[in-house]
Amino acid sequence: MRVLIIEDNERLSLLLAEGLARRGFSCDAAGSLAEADDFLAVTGYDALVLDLGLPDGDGVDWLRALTADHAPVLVLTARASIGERVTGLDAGADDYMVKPADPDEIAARLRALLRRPGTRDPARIEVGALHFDPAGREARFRDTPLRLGRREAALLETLMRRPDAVVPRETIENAIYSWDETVSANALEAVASRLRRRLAEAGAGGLVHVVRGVGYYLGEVAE
Amino acid sequence: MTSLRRMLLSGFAIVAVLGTVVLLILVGLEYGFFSSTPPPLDATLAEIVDHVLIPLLVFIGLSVIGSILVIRAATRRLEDVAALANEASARGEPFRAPLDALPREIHPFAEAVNRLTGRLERHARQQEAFAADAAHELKTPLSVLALELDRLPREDAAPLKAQVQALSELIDQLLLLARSNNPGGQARQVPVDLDALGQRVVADMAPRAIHDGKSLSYETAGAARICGLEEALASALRTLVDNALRETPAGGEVVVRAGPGPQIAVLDGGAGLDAAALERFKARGVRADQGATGGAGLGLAIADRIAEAHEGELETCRPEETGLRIRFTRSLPPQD
Repeated sequence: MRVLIIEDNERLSLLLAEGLARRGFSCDAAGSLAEADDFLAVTGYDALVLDLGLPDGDGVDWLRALTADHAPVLVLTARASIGERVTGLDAGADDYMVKPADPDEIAARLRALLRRPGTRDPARIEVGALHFDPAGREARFRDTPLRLGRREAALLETLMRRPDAVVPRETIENAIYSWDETVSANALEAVASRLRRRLAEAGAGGLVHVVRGVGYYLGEVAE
Repeated sequence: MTSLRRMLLSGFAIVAVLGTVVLLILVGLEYGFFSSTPPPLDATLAEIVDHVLIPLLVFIGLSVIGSILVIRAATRRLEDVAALANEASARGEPFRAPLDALPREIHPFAEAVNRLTGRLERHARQQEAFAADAAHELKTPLSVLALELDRLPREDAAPLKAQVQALSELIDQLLLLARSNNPGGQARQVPVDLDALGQRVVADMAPRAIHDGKSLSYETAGAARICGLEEALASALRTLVDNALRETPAGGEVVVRAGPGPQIAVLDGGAGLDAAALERFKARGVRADQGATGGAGLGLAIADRIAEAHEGELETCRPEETGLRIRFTRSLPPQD
């Protein structure tokens, strides 16, 4: 995967190129917007990493002027406020990260950008050694299939789709109940506890955590 | 300082006494009270009532009524301007006293106050600009540092990366503090729902708490909305949660409780800070455990300043519960 890094601090751009190279990307570095234009005129890139404050202009304006079919852009900047993020994303950035960013996370977000189109419903969801097949509604942990009811499967799928976040209770209820079903106060707790039991039987205990007052969270899953 | 009305009334009392004496003397001279053959007593008293007491009472009575009306009109205008100032402060907007709405005698005072608020605003603006510049300048070397660390073996780099992250968060907090202190700045103050704020921060921080074997939960007791800078408030709340999680042994629980009213509390499973200890941390910016793992020592002090910029205060929940809370003195009316 070919990435163009547009960043005026030479040391930073060198280190970033090196870090991304260790993670399987091949990188070119441009020190200004004019240089970036030259690179883009010659070759195509799979993704761009763009700093906003550049010597020959502001990255936001440059981003606005890019043609519609440009490669996905990850903005990497010191501008951290919500207003500035919104401005960056509105200008056409596909993702926005604030310096200092961890290279692992930059690489992960770049990979996510590259597989974004057509991956809204992947054939298979995997989190660690936990696998879920949305079409067949089947789940397994390592090689052990999990025997899940309809609602337990829907809960597991919802949590697996957002593995690093606490999923709000309301989102889960919308995903596992149809609109005309009346949901009693502790119905979701019962579903979660059945799911926990099934997971524990398959050797994946202690994964489904409740964050009281907010929602549920899928803990770290062993490989 | 005594009230204008009292000053005026005592002025009139003195005028009445002096006036009575002067008039008595003049009337006495005119009618020959002080001569060898004074008129009879009845006639004397009648003369005094007719020519001294009645005119004096009429004159002073009317003057008192007139002055009270004038003073009332002037104080009403001052009260109107004070109400405008309070509204602007509740909305987090800058304020200048409108001179046309005030009596001319008040202008020098109002102008002096306007100059002072102008200077304070300029100062807040410069502080924000400086903090923004400093944050920007500090983050580039920090990014270089983070990437240099990436070349080290993973296990060596992890604790150093955590320190870089903590330093970067501290820089963000200082910038947010400067923004909260500059209500006229580019970061607009908006209505912030303390319920939503508490939920968001708990959702953000629960994964790490769970990773550390602790639990973090959220409850509401009917919280109000306040006006402020949401990012700054979230950052202050995160500092409190971070602190509480550090105080809480593994297996323990930290609860974020929004409300009742304009307050948000973070209850920990540790011993909790008492008021005196909290004051020390606020003042010195030292961290509760004096340790050096992640997080820089200024956290609680900055959280307190952010609370203060939103007309709130960081206080201990002891003795009823262990934990800290931010209580705001001003809230927005509930939404329809």
